[in-house]
Amino acid sequence: MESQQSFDLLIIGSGPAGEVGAIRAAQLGLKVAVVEVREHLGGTCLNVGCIPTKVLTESARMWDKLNHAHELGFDVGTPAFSWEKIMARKLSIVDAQRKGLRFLMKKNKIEVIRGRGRLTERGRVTVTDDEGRETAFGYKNCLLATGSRVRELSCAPANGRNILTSDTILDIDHIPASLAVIGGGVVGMEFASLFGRFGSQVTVIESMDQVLPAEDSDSVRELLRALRKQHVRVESSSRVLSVSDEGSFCRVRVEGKEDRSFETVLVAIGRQPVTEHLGLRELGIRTDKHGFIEVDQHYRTSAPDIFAVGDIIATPALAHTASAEAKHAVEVISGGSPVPINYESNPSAVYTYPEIASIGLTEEALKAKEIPYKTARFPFAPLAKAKIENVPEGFVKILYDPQYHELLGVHIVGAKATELISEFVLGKILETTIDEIGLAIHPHPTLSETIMEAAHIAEGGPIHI
Amino acid sequence: MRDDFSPVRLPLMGEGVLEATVVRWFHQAGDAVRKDAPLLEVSTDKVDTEIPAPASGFLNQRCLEEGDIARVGQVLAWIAQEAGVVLPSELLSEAEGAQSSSAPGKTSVPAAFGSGTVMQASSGAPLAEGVSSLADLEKDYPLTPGLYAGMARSSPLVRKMARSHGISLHQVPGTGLYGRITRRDFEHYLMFGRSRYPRAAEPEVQRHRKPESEELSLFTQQTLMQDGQEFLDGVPVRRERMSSIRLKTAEHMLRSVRVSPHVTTTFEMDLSALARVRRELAEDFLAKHRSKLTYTAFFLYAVAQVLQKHPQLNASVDGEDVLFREDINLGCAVATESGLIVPVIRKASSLSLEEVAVALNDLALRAREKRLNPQDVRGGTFTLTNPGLYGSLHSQPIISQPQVAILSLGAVTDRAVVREGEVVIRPVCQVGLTFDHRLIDGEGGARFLQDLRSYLEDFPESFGS
Repeated sequence: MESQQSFDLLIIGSGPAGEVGAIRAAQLGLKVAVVEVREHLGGTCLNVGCIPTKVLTESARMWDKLNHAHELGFDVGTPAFSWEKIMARKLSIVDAQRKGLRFLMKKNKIEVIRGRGRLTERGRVTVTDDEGRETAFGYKNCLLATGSRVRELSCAPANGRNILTSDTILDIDHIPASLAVIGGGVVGMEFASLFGRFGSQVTVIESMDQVLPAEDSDSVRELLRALRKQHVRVESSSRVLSVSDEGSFCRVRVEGKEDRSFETVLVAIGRQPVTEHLGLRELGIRTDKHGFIEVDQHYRTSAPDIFAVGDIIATPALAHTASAEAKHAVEVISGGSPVPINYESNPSAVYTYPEIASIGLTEEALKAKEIPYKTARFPFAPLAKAKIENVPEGFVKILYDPQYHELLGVHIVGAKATELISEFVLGKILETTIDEIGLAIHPHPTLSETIMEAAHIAEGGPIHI
Repeated sequence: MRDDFSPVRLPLMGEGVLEATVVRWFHQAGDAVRKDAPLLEVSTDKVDTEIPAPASGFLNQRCLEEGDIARVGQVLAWIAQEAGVVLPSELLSEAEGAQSSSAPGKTSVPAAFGSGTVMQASSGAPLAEGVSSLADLEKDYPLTPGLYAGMARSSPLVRKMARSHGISLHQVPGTGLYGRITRRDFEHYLMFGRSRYPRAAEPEVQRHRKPESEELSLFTQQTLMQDGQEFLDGVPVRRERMSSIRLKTAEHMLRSVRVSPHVTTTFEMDLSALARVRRELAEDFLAKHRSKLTYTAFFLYAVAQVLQKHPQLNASVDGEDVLFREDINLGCAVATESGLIVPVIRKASSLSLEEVAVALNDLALRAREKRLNPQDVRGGTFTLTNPGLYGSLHSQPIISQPQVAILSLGAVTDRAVVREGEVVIRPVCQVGLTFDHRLIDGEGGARFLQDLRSYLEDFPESFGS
């Protein structure tokens, strides 16, 4: 521990926050190091989150297309898939991205330090490697970006065999005949739609009265309609009492219902911040009652040289949000004064089929806050492009202010919802009203025309219905 | 009937000049005017100039008042052949029609017009026909106040809110990207006006109207108004609007220091030989031209000769390209009552010393008498400034864009210098070259001054050749 290496910025965690923060800081001329406890860079997103699950989602989409190929004039016989090859493709894409990230670190001259980082005193982080060796590093500023981990459910202890988490289900070696998903949040619903399309009989058990509680209820209803065709049943307002491993099956007990058997159970009740090893208390860094680190609008913690972003603070736990926060924080650290992030223009994306993407407030939230609004809603079905692509499900729903036509909330359900929402992200940032959306000429034929049609409702009526 | 009235239009005053401010009228409505006699004075970003009456008769109607901005081709006034007649309404509406596309009143057409769509549209094909094609352009792209009200950056939403509250956005401070006025800023402003300063007795935060220039709008002061007296940091102030030339100069200087990395290098030059030649020639010159042969004329002549060997100093930077300018047009800074003007001696390298001196005297005289034509100040490729006239020994001027160098002359003073081991008295002058380091290195700048010094110190030989 004698000669101590020192950095302008030391980042703990290399997920979407740490990685983006490191590269941005290097671009701004800072000497940067990233401490990563995992073998691979990229955090949850790249290793056990966004990226591997979206590879599987794309495979499910292709499988779905193959099964409907005859409707488009193809005779493909009886389609078949190899789960092994699908999983191999998943790994190869993740690996390629990991390599890309390593290259970016090297290109930007960012020091990567393997081990668990801990704040030991002001201006110093001690990193413990796999063998327990400790090395101290100095810093001028530190960015905490340690992310989150799967939240465990004590009555349903995950065993890595047939009671799985979103981490371990990514290594499953076959499609289970039956799957119980405990928790109808984004992660649970994405896996339900994924395995349902590959043939599992899926039951989602959610304790609240609506799955995807953050999404507009119209969007959720539209999704549930489609999920029925994907062998997915949803039981809301249902409390799981216990899940037990019975060898060849799992027994699931739900309050007020008979015991049921499932081949596999996925516990997906949420995520919790990873902060316990950071040494926060010793440095007097405050956390709230849920364990989130308290920060100001520039992500500065109660220690002025330590910043925190991503899943460890009480903002939406989304990869793109974490990246934006990290970029902001390092721009502040390097002496800039960036405009604070406006969370009203932070989009959310759910990769079920159909997808759900949204920005701003839901209709329920507007009602609860007694904010006056009008609704402009247009379905995909009448559009030529939706017929051509054989994706008639879903709609675009725009909630707008009756006086100034401000965009209050936008909810898209449909095959390409997560791509289509970006128009409204820009729209919200620029404080565009629904009128400018209606003025914007959308290319024909595209699914994006649905957006324009919905916007025309605000000026009297859509054209194509 | 129509033939009895002649319109006075703002003439095309050079490429890129699309508008001018009315500075002063020389006649009241009803006055008799003579063809070609000055009718009014206007100011553009390049020059102040007089507009003569196009016909003899009586000034029937002034369409714009002092301080208003007119666009090229716009009707400024009508001249009638007889006194006391009423302008036909169709002519009046023609004039007003031209006017209504600009906002009425003093804060009329925003300056951005000059650099906006129309200018780009015209830059490809210069408006040879001038007036008529520009009028066509305006028909197709009318400048409605609503569209361009935002010299202040704002959003569609904020503009709608401002319109419905009847509030000019010039009053609203913006906190968004590059000072953009956001919804929050506007709401804050509404609250501010209503609740924070409810009584007139309390000091009022005074924000002068936002400068029309985006560059200058970045540097505004917050002053306090108390009992009719305005204070800045507790010191009473008197507010005065900068003149048109002052504003343009301020904007240009700010832009130039941002664009060009300025470097200055200074040589001391012994003007003994030059002084002798000047003495020899001065008397004849005075007799012939009734004006003095100044050191400035010698320097201009020498610079024009030496510059031919240093083309990189007679150039402009265009993105990643260098534009070597094939004429040597020397700008010479002249201080006038209303501000700094830099008339240009065109193709100076083809002129004799006498011709240079005559041109210089003519331009300087006309600049002071405000009789310069727009083409007199255009197309400079290198500038010379002479603060030595006021006793300055050395100065570091700012480059006139898009040029890349400016020469500054110090005062010529008799000094004790050492020549061949002896202290002797010599007329000495410090000559500084300020150059754009993007294009010119210290070596290039010094070599130019070396050559200039040799030329000046060996002047009789150089002059004879």
